[in-house]
Amino acid sequence: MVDKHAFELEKINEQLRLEVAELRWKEEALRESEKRFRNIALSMVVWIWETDEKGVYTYCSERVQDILGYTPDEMTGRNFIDLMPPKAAQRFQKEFNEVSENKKIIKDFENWNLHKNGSHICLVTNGVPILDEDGELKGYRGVHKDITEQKRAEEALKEANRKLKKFDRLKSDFVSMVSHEIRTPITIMREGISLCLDGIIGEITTTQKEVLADTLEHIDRLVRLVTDLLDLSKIEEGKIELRRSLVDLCEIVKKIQKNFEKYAHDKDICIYSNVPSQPLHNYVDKDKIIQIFHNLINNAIRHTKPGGKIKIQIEEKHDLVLCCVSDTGVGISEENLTRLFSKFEQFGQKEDPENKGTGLGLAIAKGLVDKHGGEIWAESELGKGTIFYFTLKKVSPPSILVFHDRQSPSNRIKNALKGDGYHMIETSDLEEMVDLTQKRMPSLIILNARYEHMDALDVIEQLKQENKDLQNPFLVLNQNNHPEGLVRRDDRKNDICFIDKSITGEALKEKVMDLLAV
Amino acid sequence: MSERKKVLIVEDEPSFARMVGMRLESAGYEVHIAADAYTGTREILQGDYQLMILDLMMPAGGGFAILERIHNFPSKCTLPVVIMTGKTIDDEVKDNAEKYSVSVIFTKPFDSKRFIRRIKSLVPP
Repeated sequence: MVDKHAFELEKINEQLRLEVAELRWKEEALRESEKRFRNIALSMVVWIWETDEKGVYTYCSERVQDILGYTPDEMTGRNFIDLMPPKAAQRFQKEFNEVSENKKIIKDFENWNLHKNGSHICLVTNGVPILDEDGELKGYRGVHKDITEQKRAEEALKEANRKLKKFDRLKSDFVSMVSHEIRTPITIMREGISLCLDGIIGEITTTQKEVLADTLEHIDRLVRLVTDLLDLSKIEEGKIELRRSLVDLCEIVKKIQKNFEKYAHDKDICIYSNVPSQPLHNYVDKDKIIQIFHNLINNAIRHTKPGGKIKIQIEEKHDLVLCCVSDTGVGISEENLTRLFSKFEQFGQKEDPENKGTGLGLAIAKGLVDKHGGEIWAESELGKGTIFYFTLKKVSPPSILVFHDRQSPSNRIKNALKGDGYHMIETSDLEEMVDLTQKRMPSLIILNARYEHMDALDVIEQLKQENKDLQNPFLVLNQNNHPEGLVRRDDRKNDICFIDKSITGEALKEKVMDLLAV
Repeated sequence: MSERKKVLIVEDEPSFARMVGMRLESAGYEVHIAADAYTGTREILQGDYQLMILDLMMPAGGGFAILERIHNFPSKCTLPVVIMTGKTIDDEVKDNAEKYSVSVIFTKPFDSKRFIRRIKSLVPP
């Protein structure tokens, strides 16, 4: 009998010993786990936390002291928002309410908090909901990371950017203002001398006339200098906009040659041109191309002795147009060739002020050629002459998409633009238009102010939704006599321009050139 | 009495106003000068001018301010207007010129002989 009890007791004892051993082993494992956790928590830059379902802290890792200045004990019992300035608290509460209601995770939520010493600390918070067996929200658990340094750096960068933009604006305002300030006294000087020279305020002697005429020439040179400086400044700032149109380069060259004929003739220089027999069309900024030629030709004339020749030539070479201005002038030495397009370099020029260049002509020509995506260079032989070459990329006019009404196809507008060389795409179907916009990427979209079931702004809205990167400008045709005509002010930010449907061809051409200018 | 055409020059730079005035007088016009937009507007509305020569950059509104004000007077808005400006002619200037039917724009400094020729063709003295 006793044996049986003893055996049973022994068995129970054995079991207890096992259970105690297991318990001790589990305790040990738990201690290890806690130790591991605390080591990790301590070594982490983030502060680990737990809260109840209302956002009241139930646990914070040691790190909180480094970040907010409070000990973990001081934090327990405080709500998230207790440590935030009022506005931030409102914002956080709103977010937390929404998130906790739906048992969602808190992801990368930035929030400003107050350090114990009053300074502002920016945290980024990540947290996951703690749910009980029934799936009810018991609280949140996560980490806060201190990103105050990054935030400050971001702010500083933004501020620096703002200042830079402001300075940039001031600088260009300054240049325009200076140019105006300089032009005013020059204008007065010029007119004053001119009045005397023209005999309007009394008779003058021959010598007086000579002196005054001389003075006037120098004033004109000053005007050219100011204009060139302004041009060059704009080029250097990248503020030049190319207003392109489809032009026949042959026609332009012939015109330029004619313009210079008298001037060249007066100096006993022969000027002629060599252009292809067929028109050479290119989509370029006409005024700027003329300016380039003018600068090169003026330069040529200045360096060519009487009896010399100047030739202007253009030809197509694969996908480029090669232009050149050559002279039989004094030539440029090899070392000077390298400095040719620098500012204010002038070598071997005659001294009369009427002819004297500003030293900026070639630099400006280069800037304009560069802007067109071309290259400019020179070849020369001392005593023989110089050839200036520049290339222009062959560019076709861009495509314009017209979304018209089935009833009123705006043919006049279409034909006017087609005549200017633009590639016109048209449709009266909304879906097709959206599709075409994506596939053909037109540079300009022309819309009516109103369609059967919507207006231009609805269409633009839809296009922008389908295609978030949409960058092109819009031209909206108003019909002022239409009872429901949509007359709006231009929206420059979104590049939407309103014009009247009855606009003249010339004005339309200018408007399109403006919108496409880059 | 004087059969000469009356011209109003609105220009705030007195030396320049005087010089342009001399040219116009010599060309046979009767010249009056206003030194600011306010006086200019008053003169145009009260006087009887056949031509206005306008500087754009002036204190108190500039040239276009005057045009805006006289725009509403049917007898005055057909007045030939010549603009002189030291400003670069940008889109704003072009749009406004179109709006007020400005006939001619000259950028300072300009060739005065051409200036007078143009004015003579616009409003013969």
